[in-house]
Amino acid sequence: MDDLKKIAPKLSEIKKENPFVVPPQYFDNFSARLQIRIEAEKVAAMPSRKKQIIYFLKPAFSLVAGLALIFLLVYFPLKNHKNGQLANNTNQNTELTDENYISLIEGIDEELLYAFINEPVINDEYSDEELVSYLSSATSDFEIYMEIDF
Amino acid sequence: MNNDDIDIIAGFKLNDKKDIAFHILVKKYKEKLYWHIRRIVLDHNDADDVLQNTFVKIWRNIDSFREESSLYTWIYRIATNESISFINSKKRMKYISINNSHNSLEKKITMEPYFEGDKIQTKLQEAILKLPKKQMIVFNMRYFDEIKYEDMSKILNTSVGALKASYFHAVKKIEEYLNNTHY
Repeated sequence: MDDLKKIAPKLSEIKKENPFVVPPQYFDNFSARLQIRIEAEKVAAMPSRKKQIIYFLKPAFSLVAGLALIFLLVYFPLKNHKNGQLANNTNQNTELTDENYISLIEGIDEELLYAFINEPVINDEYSDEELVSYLSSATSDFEIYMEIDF
Repeated sequence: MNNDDIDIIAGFKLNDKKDIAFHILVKKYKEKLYWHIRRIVLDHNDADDVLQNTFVKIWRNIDSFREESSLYTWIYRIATNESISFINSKKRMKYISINNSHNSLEKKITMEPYFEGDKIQTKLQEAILKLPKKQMIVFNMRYFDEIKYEDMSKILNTSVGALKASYFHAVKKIEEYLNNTHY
């Protein structure tokens, strides 16, 4: 205090008092108001039921997602690869050069050809029921692929 | 560390006594911390917000209190940091410079409904508000709260020498302001 008188005489003359005040009962009510916030903190800190469910299901979700990813990575490239091979085989069969065509024509027995031409016309008309039963028994893509020799 | 604080810390370590320990801590420190915060932020409602935030932070972090410092200096450090963060965020929100913020704080003193100082007290508060933030905090802690330099050093993480120098400069500036102002 003596030091303060020496370096700041004006300041040392001022009575050291608190000019600020608080509303009535402020400190009495403060603890109760704070307690409400602390209780809210406790609730916020607790993991919610929704979070708990997600926590337990997380490994299952990860497993399913992993399997789905493996399926996508394996199935589609394999499918594309097989489709490509089927397309190649079809192209090989349908592409007929002039040389091949001539050798094919030359290879046909004339007598057999005339006999085939002179054969009576077979009635190729099918009834609707026959067509439906044929279509319903049509083999799947997979069965077609299986019967193709690669 | 005094015995009360030792008991409070021991209470926090026991789950079933944590609430009681916190209640004792709040009861012991709420007024001291309020006035420490109020002298920094000035407004009562702001001081109330900062005080609540301070205690919430103490509640959240008491488990990580390592007892390397005393409980008293630890909670004062939290209160001081909360007050400074509050002032900085308010300044950013209002887009005002440090000088302008001082002007607005001066107005705040006279307009503050919970200020009952006479003319000379108002002048003293104005002089304190003109100080740089750190000098203002050091002056308030030493002059009003009479906190030892050693404790202030732990609270503000500043050397005792630097704190003494800050206080000396603050006193000189306040004296100069009082000499140049008629009241």
